[in-house]
Amino acid sequence: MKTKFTMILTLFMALIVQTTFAQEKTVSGIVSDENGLPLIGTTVLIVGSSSGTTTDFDGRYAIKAKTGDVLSYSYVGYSTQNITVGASNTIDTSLQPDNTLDEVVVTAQGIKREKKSLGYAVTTLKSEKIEQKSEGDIARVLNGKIAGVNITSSNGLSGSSTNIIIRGYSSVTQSNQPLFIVDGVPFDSGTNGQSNFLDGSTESSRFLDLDPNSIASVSVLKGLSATVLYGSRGGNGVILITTKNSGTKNSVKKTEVSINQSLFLSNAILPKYQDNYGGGFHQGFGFFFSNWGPRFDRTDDDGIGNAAQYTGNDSSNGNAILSHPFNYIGDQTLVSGFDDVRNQPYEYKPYNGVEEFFRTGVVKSTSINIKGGSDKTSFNANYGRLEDEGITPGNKLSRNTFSIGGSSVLSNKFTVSGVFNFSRTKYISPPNAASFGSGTGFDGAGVFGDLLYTPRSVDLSNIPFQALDGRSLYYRSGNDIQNPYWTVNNAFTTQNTDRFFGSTNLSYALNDWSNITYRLGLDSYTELNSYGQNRGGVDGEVTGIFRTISARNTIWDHSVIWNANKDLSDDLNLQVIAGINSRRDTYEQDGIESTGQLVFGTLKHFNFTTSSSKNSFRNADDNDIAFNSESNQVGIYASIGLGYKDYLFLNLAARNDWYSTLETENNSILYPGASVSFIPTSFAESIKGDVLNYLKIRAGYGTSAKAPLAFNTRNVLGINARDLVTTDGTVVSSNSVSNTLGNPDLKPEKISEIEFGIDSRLFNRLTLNLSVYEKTTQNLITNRTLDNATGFNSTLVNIGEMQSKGLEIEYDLNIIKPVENGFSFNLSGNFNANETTVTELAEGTDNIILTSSVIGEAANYAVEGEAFGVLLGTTILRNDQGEKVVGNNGQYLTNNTPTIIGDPNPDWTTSLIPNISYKGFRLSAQLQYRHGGDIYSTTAASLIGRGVVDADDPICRECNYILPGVKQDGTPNDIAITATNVGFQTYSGGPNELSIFDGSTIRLQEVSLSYNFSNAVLSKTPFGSLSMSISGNNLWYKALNFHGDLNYDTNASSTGVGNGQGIDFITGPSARRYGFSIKATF
Amino acid sequence: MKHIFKTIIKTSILFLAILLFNGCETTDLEVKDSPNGVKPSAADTDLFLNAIQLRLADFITGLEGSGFKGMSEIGMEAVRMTHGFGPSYRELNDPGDFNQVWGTAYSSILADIRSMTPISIENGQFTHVAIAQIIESYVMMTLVDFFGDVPYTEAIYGTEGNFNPKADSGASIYEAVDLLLIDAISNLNKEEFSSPKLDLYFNGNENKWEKLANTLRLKLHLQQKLVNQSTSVSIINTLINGNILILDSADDFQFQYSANSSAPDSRHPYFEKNFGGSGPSSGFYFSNYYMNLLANNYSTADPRTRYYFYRQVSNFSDASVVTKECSTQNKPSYYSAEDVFCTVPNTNGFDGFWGRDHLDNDGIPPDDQYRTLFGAYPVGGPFDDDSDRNVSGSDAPDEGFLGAGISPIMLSSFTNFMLAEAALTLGTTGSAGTYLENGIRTSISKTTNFGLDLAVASFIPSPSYIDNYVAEVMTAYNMGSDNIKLKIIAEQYFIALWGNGIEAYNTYRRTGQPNDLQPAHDLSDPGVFVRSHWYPAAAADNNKNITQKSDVTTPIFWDKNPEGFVD
Repeated sequence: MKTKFTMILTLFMALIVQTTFAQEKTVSGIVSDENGLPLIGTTVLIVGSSSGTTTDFDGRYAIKAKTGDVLSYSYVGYSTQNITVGASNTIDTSLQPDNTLDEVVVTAQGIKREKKSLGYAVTTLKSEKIEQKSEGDIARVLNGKIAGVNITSSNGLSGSSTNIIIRGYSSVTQSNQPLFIVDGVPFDSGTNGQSNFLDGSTESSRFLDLDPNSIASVSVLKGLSATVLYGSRGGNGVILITTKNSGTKNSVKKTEVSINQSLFLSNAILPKYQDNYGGGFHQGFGFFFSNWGPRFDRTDDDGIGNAAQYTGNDSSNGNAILSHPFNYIGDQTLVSGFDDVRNQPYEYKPYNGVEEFFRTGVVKSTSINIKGGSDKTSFNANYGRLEDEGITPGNKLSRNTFSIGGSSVLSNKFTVSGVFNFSRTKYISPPNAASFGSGTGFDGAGVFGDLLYTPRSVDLSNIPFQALDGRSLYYRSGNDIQNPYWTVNNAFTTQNTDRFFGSTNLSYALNDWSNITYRLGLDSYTELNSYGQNRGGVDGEVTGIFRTISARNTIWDHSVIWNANKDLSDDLNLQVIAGINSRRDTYEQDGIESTGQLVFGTLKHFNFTTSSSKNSFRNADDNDIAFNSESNQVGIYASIGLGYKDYLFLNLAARNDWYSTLETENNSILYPGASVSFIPTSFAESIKGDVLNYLKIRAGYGTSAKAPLAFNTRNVLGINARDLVTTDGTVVSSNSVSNTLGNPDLKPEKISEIEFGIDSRLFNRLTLNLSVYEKTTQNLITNRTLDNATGFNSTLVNIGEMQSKGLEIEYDLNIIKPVENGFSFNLSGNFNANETTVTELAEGTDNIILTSSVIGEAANYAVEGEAFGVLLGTTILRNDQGEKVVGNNGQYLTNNTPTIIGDPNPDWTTSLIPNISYKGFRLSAQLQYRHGGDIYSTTAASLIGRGVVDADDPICRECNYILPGVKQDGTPNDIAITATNVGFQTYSGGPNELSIFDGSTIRLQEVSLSYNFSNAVLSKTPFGSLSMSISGNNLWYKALNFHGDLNYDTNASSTGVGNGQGIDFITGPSARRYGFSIKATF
Repeated sequence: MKHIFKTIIKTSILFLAILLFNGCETTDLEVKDSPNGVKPSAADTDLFLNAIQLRLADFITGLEGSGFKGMSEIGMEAVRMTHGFGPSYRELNDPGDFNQVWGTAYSSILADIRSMTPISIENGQFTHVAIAQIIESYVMMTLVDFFGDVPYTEAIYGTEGNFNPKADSGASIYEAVDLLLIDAISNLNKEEFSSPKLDLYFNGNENKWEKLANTLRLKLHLQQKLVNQSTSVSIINTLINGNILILDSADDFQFQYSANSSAPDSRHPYFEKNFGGSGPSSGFYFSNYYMNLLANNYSTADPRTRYYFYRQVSNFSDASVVTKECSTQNKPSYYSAEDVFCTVPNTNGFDGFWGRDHLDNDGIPPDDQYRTLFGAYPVGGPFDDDSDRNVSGSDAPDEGFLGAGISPIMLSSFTNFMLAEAALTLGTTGSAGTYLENGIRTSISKTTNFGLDLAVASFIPSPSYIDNYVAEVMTAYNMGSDNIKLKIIAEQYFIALWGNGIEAYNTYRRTGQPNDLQPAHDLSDPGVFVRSHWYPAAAADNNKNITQKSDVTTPIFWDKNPEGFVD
């Protein structure tokens, strides 16, 4: 029986084998890229035979093959894949990009091109470099990953705005922020600041509405030759985002669900405070806001024992005991009811009030993605949720995003596709008005200003922060500092946004090589902003203030695009894109501001005595809350691409735009561009070898223009309906000539850029791409500040020129090449150097200030012949010999003429990204280095100047100092001053040049360790894939030229989003984030 | 191929049709007029005149809620009525400190005047024109007094593309301003087609405007007495004989603020800055010199003392290294025996005048509840009735007249002091002593009347107290040399000027009196006194025809006094 069975089996097996081997069948399927997009023209070959085919327009192929044949799928830019034919007649596969060689990239207007055919630099990041991060802000995720893209946060609050500058600045007064294109249509990435940055920049940048986990890829078009088709809007570079919802043009029959869950914690990175001395001046104690008082460990001579508040020593620990500061509060009504506190002994010792003030932040993020479809239809849906509780109490960001996209190939040559996104972002934060080292400078309250330099002897955590009637309460006798705890409990700003954005495409295939598409984009959001502070504060409106502003922004974008791709002959390929585009932007806002709160604690307009339509935080000539803006732009464009054989590519493009923001004579501008790419390794195969695997030489020229914002060409008359109320209650109205002079001759700025580059692959392991560029802006739209004697404060004029030069290098080196399940070590990175120089300014204009400035503080300027944004400020007065001049009081005299004291532009930046993998493990990191770039740091000046951080460990506080320099009569300075005077008067209160620091910083931006479960393990589970990772962000950094104890983070600027940089008016601490993330597909 | 292009054309037409039908607003390129303002052609002369009058008050007194210092405050700091930070005169002010007065003068007041005047002339609104001319002349003479040569003939030509107006000499501006005042008087005497709907200063009384115009001419020519004495004498005599001058309190040129605290805040800016509820502004320490001048210059305190200042404490027992660092320091050797240092002595029964020494550059100590603050006159604060309350806390906005104060610009007492100086130094018509006494008495009665509703009866100076005080001043005057006489006139003018630093700063540079102002706190030599101020940064940085001064030592054209004349 056994034998018989075996025989039958053998026979059966033989039969099967025989049948299988003999039977030739038709194997068909779809080849797609890693995002599910069809790969047209993929070569499918049976290994070892001459038969083969290519995929069609939908990525489909059919080939006759036998079971056991090995099919080889190859496509330029992708790794060749071999699949053995099995029992199934369908083999769908997706190819993975071979990023070490050439790849297909998304270019302007969403056209996919082979990278080798491009005459300009494009950097593309795939989803795996973007998702599962601790930052919910896509721009901050990109930080350091792309050469030539400079990203800075406004401050340490979760949800605060982010500044993005690509390839340096190209305009003095207009925006330098890049254009965001999401799924082919414009996406507003603006930051709608409701007040000047000096009153705090808490508003978010609107790309915060994008969930990084829903993004399939990001392409950054840096040069103008790449962005010509986007016209003027693309002049600052374009960030092209393809969401997972739009990557569904082919059908994936199997429904795939993927879930991503992350949990991150964050901690504030705070200065290392000294613990030897407490509050006071000149070693004399006082409940001051400066920390130059007596030692903690001494009660004898000159020490705390001499203080009027001293009552004795604690018998248990020897600490000096003071009578509680509440005994000295001038207005005793503030502390009524706090008799118990008043009678408590107050220990003179270092308290950790600041450290205790910040909390551990928690970032939770969830993302669910579902994709599926049928033969001709596909869809993708995505839900994302982010909850980010910042390190600062009262700061929280939460975001829900829903999106769905799909496409369908209709029978009548039409393809319809669309994406629909809805996001809801809620953001709350305490106000963070700029501080110059003493309270806040202007109208608002600030949480960081009077916090970070709290004297060590102040028991911030335990002193009651609120009087019984609600007023802010603190330790100073005059109660003239708003308690930071009062601020976070009684003052806040919120921004709640509902946003819809999406696009619809209707495409008609005219024939097999061209189609015509109508594309509609709509991006509309409503922001509800509020700012409130209960009555009884010290900073800002004492009677209480509540302001609500609702704003709506809409972009309508229509395009008709004809797209053709035809082989004119065997050697010559022609690709043409021609389009018409119209774009309409509208922004409207309205709101109300109330003051005079009735019932403490309720921030609603009905609870206030006075309401106004003016924003009291803005200047009188610009304080109407209601504000409208609209602008229209119509453009036509065309691009012709010629490819000769596979080694020479030429691309010509031009766009003409018409603007509504300029008078008719000046409102049309044409910008041409051209680029060429030559591949020697394809032209002469002989030079290709194991040393030089691939070489591309490229050159591009591009132009762009920048139109001014709306309503700058005509004068208006200002109306002030309520200019004064007289004693008898008469409301006095007025009208007044506008302080801004309209300029009917205003023209667009003209930008041109020339770029050269090399892409290469060497030794089969090193990819090295290099670009150099020079970008020139002419007819700069300059907000020329006028001498008021002209009758106006400022006007926009077209004068001036600026130039950016730069070098970008991107590389990828496989030190140990990956083999399956083996050990691999890869090192990639980038290097970026950029220098933007103002080459010409308006005649008579010495400098142009770039941001709001504060008297006595440094600010960014455009100065002819200097780097863009140089910091001008006060300096130590120097005599003709260049010696520093000291006054009769031993302090430096100040030269008040604004003088260049620093260049905030980093000389160069670089990132190094090592990547080690072994089996399913992957360990990667991102190290960054910034060289140079000066920072005017009030944080550093006030922490050291107020004596809470030792500049020179330990500074001799009991010593006298003689500042180096000469007296006014030229003799060497011999006037001794105390350490307090050096710190408080010279360092923090002295000339601006003493607060300038070189911003060179080394940083461990990211580390992550992930594990991918193998298919073998997963085969018994419902999971298609499963990976886990632990990662950290901003784990360690060191600002090399700042004093180490400051732990100062150079990646922030108080000026927020705009053309300022390197200004720190106490931006607050940055956070270290670390956590855990898991991703699974079913 | 043909077929394709046909399709493209068809589709394009379809697309355009959709746009035209559906979205013509999308392709509309004619959205050029701002919806956030109105067209200049909608301007109204009455609303212009309101703007011009209101901005004049800003120019002089500054603006609430911001760091906007008016001309008066700038003047008071230099002559030790209020405290200014130093430590040297170079550092008393920064060029940026003047941007707001400069901007208010030119791009608000003058720009509006240039726009209003042609329309008003066309409308036959000659009173509008005259008021604008008087205000323009006041603004321009004040700019000359503080900065020297400033743009005038080329000013307000931005619309013509002149972005670099050249400065005219101070002398030529004075000349032009004098003619402007004469022209204003002739316009006041014309029959106008319609009067201003609102006049915040004189309620449409043209006679009062004429008095002001003449008084400003008096000021103008007294100012120039060192340049062309004979012209000054003859014009001043003509003005005295014409008798159309501000010599009655009813004709005082002043701006009245109200107690309205928001939408818009219409309170006196100094009140808002000191009684806003969040502690007094660091910019408003009072000068120890000035408080001492009122309290202790004669055997009884000046009758206005309680109206001018409010003391929050009755002595200096709280002065320590913390709250008043100088209280632990010795009086510098370069202070004379008569100079007050750190505190104001209690000679005449007033203790606790908590102010600051000249150019004291120390930081702000925790002394909110000790500092002497404004009284009832002129800002509308509390009357000092020895209650020594803390009026710096959050209840401060309810103090006194709630900020319904005045900004004194040209008062009848000022005219008397000017005439006294002219009579004494130029020999013009009238007795200097009589003018002096009139000036003192007018000022005292104005002050006491103003504060009447707040004053506690027992602290109201009796007529005999006032008479005794005046008599003591007059005795000292009558017994003194010409120099002493001039000093007493200047001292009494300074006292009457409380709230107006413009005339005090001018008088000091013109006469060199009072010659015993307090020295600087930190430096024995704080540099040369501010003979003229830095050009505003807005002008020096943006106008190639204006170059920043190298120092603040350049005198104004009418200041022919020698170097080192004042310090």
